[in-house]
Parts: sequence; structure tokens; C-alpha cells
Amino acid sequence: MKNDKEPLLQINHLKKYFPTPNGLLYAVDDVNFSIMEGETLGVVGESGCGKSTLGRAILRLHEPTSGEVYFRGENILNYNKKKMKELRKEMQIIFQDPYESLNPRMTVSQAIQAPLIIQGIYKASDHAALEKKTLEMMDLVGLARRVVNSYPHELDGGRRQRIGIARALALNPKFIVCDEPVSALDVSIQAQVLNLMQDLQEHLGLTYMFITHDLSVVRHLSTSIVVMYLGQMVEKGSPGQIFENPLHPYTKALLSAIPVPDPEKKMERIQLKGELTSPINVEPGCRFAKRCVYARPECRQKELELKEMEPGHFVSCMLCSG
Amino acid sequence: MSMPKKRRYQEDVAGRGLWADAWYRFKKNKLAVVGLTFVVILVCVSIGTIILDLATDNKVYEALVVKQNLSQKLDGPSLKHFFGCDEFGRDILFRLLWGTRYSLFIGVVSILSALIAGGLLGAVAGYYGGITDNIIMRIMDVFLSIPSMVMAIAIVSALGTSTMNLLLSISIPQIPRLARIVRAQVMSVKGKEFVEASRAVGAGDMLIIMQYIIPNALAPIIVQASLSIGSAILSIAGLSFLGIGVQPPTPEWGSILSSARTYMRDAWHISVIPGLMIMLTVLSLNLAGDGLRDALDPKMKN
Amino acid sequence: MSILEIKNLKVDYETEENTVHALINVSLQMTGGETLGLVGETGAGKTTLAKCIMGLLPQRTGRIRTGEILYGGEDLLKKDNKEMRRIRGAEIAMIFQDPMTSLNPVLTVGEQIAEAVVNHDHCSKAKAFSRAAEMLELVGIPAERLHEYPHQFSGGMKQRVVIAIALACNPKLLIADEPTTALDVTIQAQVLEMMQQLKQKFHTSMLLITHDLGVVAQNCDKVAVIYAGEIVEYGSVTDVFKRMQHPYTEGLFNSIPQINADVKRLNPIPGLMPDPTNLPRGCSFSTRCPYADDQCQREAPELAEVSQDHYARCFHRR
Repeated sequence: MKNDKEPLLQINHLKKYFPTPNGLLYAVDDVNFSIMEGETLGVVGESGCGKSTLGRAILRLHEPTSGEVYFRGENILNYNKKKMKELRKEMQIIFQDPYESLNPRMTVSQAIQAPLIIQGIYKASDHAALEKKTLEMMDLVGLARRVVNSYPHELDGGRRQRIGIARALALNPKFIVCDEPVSALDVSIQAQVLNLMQDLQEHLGLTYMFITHDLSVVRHLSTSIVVMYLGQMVEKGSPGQIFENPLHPYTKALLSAIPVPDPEKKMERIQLKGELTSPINVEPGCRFAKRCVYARPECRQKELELKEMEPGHFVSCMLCSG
Repeated sequence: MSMPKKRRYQEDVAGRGLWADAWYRFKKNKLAVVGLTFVVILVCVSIGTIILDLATDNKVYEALVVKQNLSQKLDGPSLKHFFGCDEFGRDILFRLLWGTRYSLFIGVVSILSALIAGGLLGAVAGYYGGITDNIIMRIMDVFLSIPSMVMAIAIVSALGTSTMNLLLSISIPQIPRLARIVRAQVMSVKGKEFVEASRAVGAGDMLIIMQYIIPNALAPIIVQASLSIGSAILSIAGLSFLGIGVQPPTPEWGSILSSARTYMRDAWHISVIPGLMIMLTVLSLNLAGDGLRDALDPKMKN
Repeated sequence: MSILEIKNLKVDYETEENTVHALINVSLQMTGGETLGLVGETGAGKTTLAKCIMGLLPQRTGRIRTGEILYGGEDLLKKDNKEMRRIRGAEIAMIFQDPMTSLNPVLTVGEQIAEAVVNHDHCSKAKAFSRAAEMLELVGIPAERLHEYPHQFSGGMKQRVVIAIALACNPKLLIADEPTTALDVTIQAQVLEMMQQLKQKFHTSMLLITHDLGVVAQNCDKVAVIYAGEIVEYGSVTDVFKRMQHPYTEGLFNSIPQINADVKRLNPIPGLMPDPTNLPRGCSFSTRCPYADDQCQREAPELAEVSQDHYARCFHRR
């Protein structure tokens, strides 16, 4: 059921800075967006853009430096420990690495039951109920029942990722941060897991924030897309807008860099100068200017904001918005 | 709040658990199995002698181990006295058998207590980091800077030569070593994604330490502890050798070795054989400890 | 003119518990100056093949049962370690996947490139360093950075250094094992373009191992698709991508999300790659193939020519 009035999640001026010996690391710098219930926001960027930190900051796995995170209209950054624990039933996360995100000493069933026991939904002694729920979750994510007592190291990447998904779903959350959930998987397994996530979304009415560096995956799954670079949002729009009419030079470069699996369509690659600049002690102005072939002196002077170029399509670039 | 129990489900498939897997790999390591067997034999001997003493009200002990028989003084190995006799005519084999319990008992108990104390300190330092970590580790550094033998001697000299003090003097120098290892392990596991995942479902600090961090940090700790037992036995022997460990007539291996000093030229058996005993025990513990480390490390699988 | 010819290669890994059939019956050919893409998923045998060519198969467990690897007319499998050391680096060079761990952290990048040169050309240190400087410039890194350590470079630049080391002695064949998988997509594009330019300049042949079909389409002349230790399709990139014959190749294409089309739902290949210790009788893809019939489950098909220089291992060629 979609609630057209109020977004499920709204992020205002979210910032997360890390102090390092070399200076302040601007991991997430003034990010704003909202997600309606049942939708999927794709967050795209390369390494160092802050997308993973963003996901964790929203869940308060990293405490945000400043900003607001509204979930169902309430600012969860003000919640105390008890309320936060309650909230965790509604906001969950699926991790990227199927090898590192599972406790090697816990079987599949223990991994799925742990959240239930921690949240007090079932008592540890309530074996029958726990067993029933475990098998239910395994069926839901397509895990063969016979692996119920297997350890992660006995299973392949695709199965482990399904365990991660089952664990995230065990508490019946409304919102799930998916941090590159298929990047570590083989192509054919990726497709299986993506289909699964799509089915689960329809079936359970889930809202996703899908973090990835793979633009092709994001087109397929998202209702809207945000492109990030060095902690800032550079473009925001619907998949159609981003893919058919990319505005920001970085988005254009990103799209043109993806190798197309068609030997007859040779790529017109948009050149980027040099390497990623450091997110530590950033310089004023556009952070992409150093690598941008269109950069002008003004780009390094003015702080940029997202401007709406067409309905729902925002970009933070002087050349685009004038 | 307990760990969800691992129960057999109908749909279960035969897959070895982690410990069973480790045991399987351990068994394949012949040297480790030999080491473990020897240690097990020693444990049986200790228990056997204790039971015998209780049953006979120390009569057998008195007769075989304490009673002097100067006519047999320094006799070499023979059919009657398998390892020969010492300077008081006592059968060395029996003295060694009755001495097993001291080395094993003191070795194990001292390391176990060091493990608990050091483990706690290391876990707290590693998990909380920051100032807590700094304070704890700097205190540990102070202890580490004192050579363990010197510290042991100091403790025994100050407090006297009881068994309790011997335990303390062996265990205290080991605490900082074990604390360091536990701290390093806790720090490395703390940063792993599955710990983050447990926080994401609302797990509290205590639960995370007990159910997520410690079980995954165990392997190197167990291995270090088992290797430390060997070193503890050497320390006990060393202290007894210096005369401040277990007191005569208690047949602790190190003190047997100590009294053999004077007779080394005339009676080789009285120094070589207890020495061999100590060496074999430590070697067995090391082999078993090595095997344990290899067995617990899943990456070494082929 | 064939530079590398692999004939009927069969490789197992023997462990105490079981035998892993890594390569069943692999035959491949490469001509001078061409780029052959080797496409497959985890466990298909790509890295095993690369290691066999380089003579780097783990000694304790790797067993080459049959086959020949002919380089310049000579069988590499019959050469001893000394001869192989002469060949590695000078004739055949390899680039590994993870640039973070491929470089020695305690040597400067100049020293590492120079080391490769000295090992093979036996020239003076000065000459080796000047060649190292040349190579750095060629891969797009300013020569002044010769004296810097690997940790001072980013991932993409580290991989460029790795490429510089590999090409320093002008090898005839370069084996690149997933060289850009660990890199960001914009960096990947830069590095691949640079590799293509260098390849053309030095007329090097390249065996490009990857799971990324896009990378193959944009960089390779020929492609071989490997599944469960066998080559299941082989031909020019145009033939295989435009007129694919094997159901696995078809399945791979259906699994990838397209950025150009608006696809509602992906079409993954059901199931998993078979257990290499327990391969099915008959065609190893039959358990997942939508076209499989009785024959497929009983007999294993041979690699047969479907059109000029285009081969597929399937009974149901379309």
C-alpha cells in the first residue's frame, strides 16, 4: 500500500565526517533525498563516493555528524538506545560481502534466529516457533531446507547472500539498505538474487535503498537514482532521465565507461582526467572540477547546489544550470 | 539471553560442524596425535597416583617415593629399578610418576587463570579502545618489561614457597602475553562485517562480545595457551631447580634435576632421565598445540 | 601464425578428501597479435588454465593428466622449472587480479620493474632503471614516481605498474587474469584502453580472462566461453556474441541487466555450476539447460564446428 502523502524515509542535509590524522574526511557531505514507501532509490557511485557510509549513517551504524533522518515522520537521530533498538525491527541492511557478513560460528538457522531472539520476538527456548519461522524464511529466499544446519563456509556465495537476505527479512522490516548486495556474485547468480529481491519487494511491500557501482543493475531495479561523487550528490532523477539524458559530466563519463556487450557498438568514452581526488580536506567549489574536461575557473569558486532542470531531474553543475 | 540452540531438524544434511571438522584435521596430523597421546597418558598417571594416595592414605607414596634406601644409592638403571635410583636410594621411575601431577596441575591451572585474567583485560581493552585500551595496555607493558623468571623469584621470595605462591608466580608473567593476544584478536574481529550485522539487529555490547567476538577469536588464543603450558612447566622446573619452587621431598621434576647437579659425573641417569621427561612433556604439548593451530585454521585446508 | 596452442589439456587437483576436476579437455589456439577473451564464472577453470600456461600450478595438489601447451612449437609442460623461469616474464607475462597484493610493498615501483628487466636481459642496473622509467611513462605514470612505494599509488595506478612490469621485457604473450575486476568502472575503461594501445604498439598477444561480457566485446578479437572445465563455445567475438550457439552463452547474456534496454525482469540460468568433484554424466550443462534432452544427459558432446571458425559443444545447435 503506497502512502502518497508522506515519504517513508527523508534525509535532510546529512553529513558524516571522519577525523583522520591527515585532516577531516568528508565522507558524506550534505545529502538530501526522500523515498516513498514501496519504491527503490538507487545510489550510484564509485569507490570513495560515500555511498556505503551513507547507508550505514541512515541506520545509525555510524552516527551522523549532522543532519536529519526522518523515518515515518520522526527524526530518528533523536531516538535513545531503547527506541533505536525498537526501530531496528523496521530498518535493516543487506551487506555486500557474503563471506564477511556472516558469523562463521553460526549455522544458517542460528543466523536467521539470532535477530528474532535479540529483539525478543521469540524466546530462545521456544523451539517449535523458531523452527517454523526459520524454515519459512528459508523458503521465502529460496534456500534449500537441507542446509538449515550448515555453516557459511560450506556454502557458495549465492547461498550465503540468501542467508543475509533471510536474516534481514526475519524481523519483517519496512525499509532495507542494500549495500552492493550482488557485486561479489557471479553473473548468473547475480541475476537470481536480483530477481529474488524484486519478488520480495512486490510480495512484502518493501522499500529499498540500493547502493551499487553498477549502473546497469540500478536501471533495472530503481524508481529513482542518485549519483554520488566524493560525498556529494551530483545528479538525481528517474532511471529514464539519468540514462537517456544524463546532465552531469560525471554521470556522462560513468555511463560511457560501461563496456557494452555488443562488439558492433564501440564505446565513445568520455575522458576523465587523472584519478579520484581525496575526500580529506576537500577544496571549495565543485569536487569534480579537477577531473572534468569542461571545467572552468568559476567551477572551483562557487559552492554548488542541486538545481531542478526538468521535473524530478536535479543536477549540481554550473555548466548545466548556468 | 542465550545463543539460539543448534538443533537437529528433519531436513538436516550431514555436514561436519566446525569443531568436528577441526578434530578430523587434527587426527590427520600424526605428530600432533602422538603429542596429544603422551599428554593424555601423563594426565592418567597423575590421576592414578592421586587416587592411589587417597586409597592407601599415602602409604604407597611413603614407601616408593619418600623412603630412603641408602644401600641403593645412585644405582644405575636395572630390571629392579627401571630408571635407577637417586642419591637417597629412591627409585627414580616412581619419583617421576608421582611428580607428574605437579608439573601438569600447576602448568594448567596457572595458564588457565592467566587466560581468564588476561583474557578479560584484553577483551575489554580491545573492544572499547581509546583510553581504556591505553591504560590497560600500558600496565601490561610494565609487567612485560620484567623478565618472567625474575618476577617469579621476587614473588616467591616475598611471599614464601607454597603451592599457591608458585601458581601466582607462574601465572602473573603470562597475563600480559595472553592479554595482548586476546586484545589483538578482539580488535580484528570487532571490525568484521558480521559484528556490524549483529548491531544492525539491535545486539548489545555484552552479547556481541560473548557470542560473536569471543567464539571467533578463540583459535589463536587456545593455541597460545596450550603452548604456554609447556613454558609454564619449564618455569616450574626452573624455579625448583633454583630451590625456590616445590620443596623436597616432593618429587617435582625440576627439583629432582636440581639435586642431580652434584652427581652428574658419577650418575648420568639421575639428571638425564628427569631432563628427558621434562623435554618430552614440553615437546608433546608443543606438538599438540601446533596441531591444534593447524586444525583450527580453515584456510590451511589443502 | 599460431603463437600458443593448447591441446586436450586435462587437469585435476588431488586433495586428501577428493579429486577436483578443474579442466576436462581444453583445446585453444592463439595467433600473434590477437586478443583472446576467456569468459567464465567462478570455478569454471579460467585461473587454472592461466596457471598451467605459466607453469604455476600448485605442486602439491595440481596434476596435469594429459595434454600439451605448445609455445613456439615447444611443449611448455615438458619444460623444467629453470627453463620456465626463463620464459616467464620474457616470453609470457601474467597480470593478476588484485593490484593491492600483486606488488611488493617494501620495494619501490622502479625497483620492481627494473628487477624484471635485469632478470631477463642481464643488463646493468642503470639500463634497467632507464627502461623502468620508459615503461612508467608508457603506462601513463610520470617517470619521477619511480622512487615511490606501492602504497603511495591508487588501485588503478598500481595496476598500471603491474602492467608496466609485465610488459617491461616485451613478452610475446600477456595473460591478464581479471585485470580490471577490482577497479572502478571509469578506471577500468582507462586501464583497458591503455592496454589496447600498448598491445598494438608491441604487437603482443593477450589472453584476457574475465567474467565481464562487456569487457570482452570491447577489447577482444576472439572469445572462448568456459564452463565446468570445458570450452563450450569458441569463435570470433562477433560470431559468439551475435550468433551464439551454446545455451550457456545464451544464458549468460540473458542474465546481465542491459543499460540500453528497459528490462522488467532478468532471466537467470537456474541452478548452480556442477560440483567439480562430482560432474554429471553427459553434458555438464545439461542439469541447467532449457533445451536438454535424454541424449544430453547420456552423452557428452564434442566441440564441433558450427560455421567457419566458430565452434560449440552442444547437440542442439541452432
